Amino acid sequence: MEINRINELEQIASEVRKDIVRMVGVARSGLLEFPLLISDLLVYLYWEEMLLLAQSPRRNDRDRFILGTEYGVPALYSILAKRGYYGREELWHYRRLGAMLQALPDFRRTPGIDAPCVTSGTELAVAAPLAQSLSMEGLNSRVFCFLEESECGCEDFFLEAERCAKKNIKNIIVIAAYKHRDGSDPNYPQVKCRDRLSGYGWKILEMDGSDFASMEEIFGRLDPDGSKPTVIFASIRNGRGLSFAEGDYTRTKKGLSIEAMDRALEELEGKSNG
Amino acid sequence: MDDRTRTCTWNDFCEYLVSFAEDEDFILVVQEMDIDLGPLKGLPEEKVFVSSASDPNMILNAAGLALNGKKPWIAGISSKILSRSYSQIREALALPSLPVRIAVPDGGLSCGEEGASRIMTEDLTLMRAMPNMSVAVPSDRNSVRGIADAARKSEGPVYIRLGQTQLSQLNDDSDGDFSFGGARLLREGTSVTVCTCGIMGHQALKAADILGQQGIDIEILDFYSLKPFPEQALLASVRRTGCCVAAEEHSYIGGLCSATAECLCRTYPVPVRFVAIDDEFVHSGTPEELREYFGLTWKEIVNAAAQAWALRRR
Repeated sequence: MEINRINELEQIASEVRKDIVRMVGVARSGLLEFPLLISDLLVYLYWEEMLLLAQSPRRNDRDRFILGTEYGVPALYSILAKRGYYGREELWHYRRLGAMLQALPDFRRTPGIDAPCVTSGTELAVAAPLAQSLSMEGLNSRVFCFLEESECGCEDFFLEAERCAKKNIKNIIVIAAYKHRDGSDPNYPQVKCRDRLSGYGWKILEMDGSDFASMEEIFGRLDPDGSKPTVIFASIRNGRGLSFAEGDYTRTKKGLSIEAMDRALEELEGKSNG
Repeated sequence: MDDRTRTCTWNDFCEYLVSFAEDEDFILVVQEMDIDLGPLKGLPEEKVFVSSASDPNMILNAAGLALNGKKPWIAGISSKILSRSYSQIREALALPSLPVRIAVPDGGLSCGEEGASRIMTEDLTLMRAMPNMSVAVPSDRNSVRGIADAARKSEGPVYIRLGQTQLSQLNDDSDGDFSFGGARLLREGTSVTVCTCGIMGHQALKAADILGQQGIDIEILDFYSLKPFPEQALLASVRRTGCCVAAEEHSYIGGLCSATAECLCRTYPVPVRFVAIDDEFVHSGTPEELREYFGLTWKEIVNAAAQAWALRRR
């Protein structure tokens, strides 16, 4: 990937992150850290990898994106606005009464949302039959199923993963995001998950989910004519988030005060300039 | 009625489902290990989606198929689907209003031998209370076919409660119009309105003969559509009779009894009596034994109708 293109994507990701802070700040509720961490990854998917047309969000031959974690919803909203599915001003009504951008995506009302976000059960069970059904219709559409690491360890996930492998559903790509950790402790959940999926016959890839060059290399290895489902373990680095939000705002729904929002925007501004 | 013409609503449903399986958007989602496919074995292989061995996954699988324009049918054991997968039905089917139909073969007490954990006497409550969900309880072959046709056209989720009890035809109206929000008149009368669903329509017809000998001429309505609830059909009858009995093979909380009382309390208060299961878990036993034990026979309808009628006369 050319350095100019990487700079462009980083600029987009930076704008997306600032919008996430603004929307969560204005809403005074919502998760902040996880959306900030995954924004690079979603920017790469929506600008470089997925086939889609914002002007026809229901076009049948598009690639599908299924968000399997409620923690990432603000990032997806910000990405879809930036990509032109709806106006950016919608972000400022996030979580408000009657707003298009509800706390969880309203599949019927929000352009660009391909599936309801299910908080109980594994989203892979929604994504897999969708992919299978698209493939049986002769479409080349792929289904990207984005999961957070804790969702890749439940038994229902493995049951569905086993079924995917048995049915050779090749157009499903699971992206399992996990926080980057130093070392290679074999007890990390993703290591166990990787071994088990590999045993079923899944194609296993790993990448740095905060590095566009790494993402380009790994997504380039996806084989359109392959016969296996694919899982990409994407590590996401803490440095992409906000220093003061780490820990304190993880998986809580406190929202941001006005002062905290200003500080967060200043910090993000500093990072994008630096 | 000749016993050879008696069928159970589950078998009627399976036969009818096979007849329109060629529809482009048709697909049946099942867990093979959980259900005797019976007459459904005639379905083409590509029309059956066998899910992994997890009830929540089966519901989510159907949602995934619906997202690509299919209109899936789910067949499965009621206690497993509704209790283990309630949140998936709520979030993945009802909330986005996806056109998925859930049909259960073991509604009411029809699989009584299986015991309390398998017998859901609160299934209609759970499904009625869920926004966007339509709920239907067929009572014979005609209503099975009519409701299946209505469900095919529906753009939202549907719950259909079927059973294993052998039943005769309630009337000869094979061309009857069935739609969600409709009810069927089984017998005209002037003294008491008897609201029924499922097998209780059959019991009410037996009760009508006994009550007729006492000079009480009951009107029987089959409320095959519990949600949307056909309020106008109920009110039109009760305005003439002035009293009402609701009879269902279900807990009196949240099903037909509740729907009837909610409507009448709000718009036209009259004396109402219930024939239903009390707020308790049932025991194991044959369906006939259980219906006798829990008071779901024509005798209780006779008593309830006589009481309601007496209250009206005061």
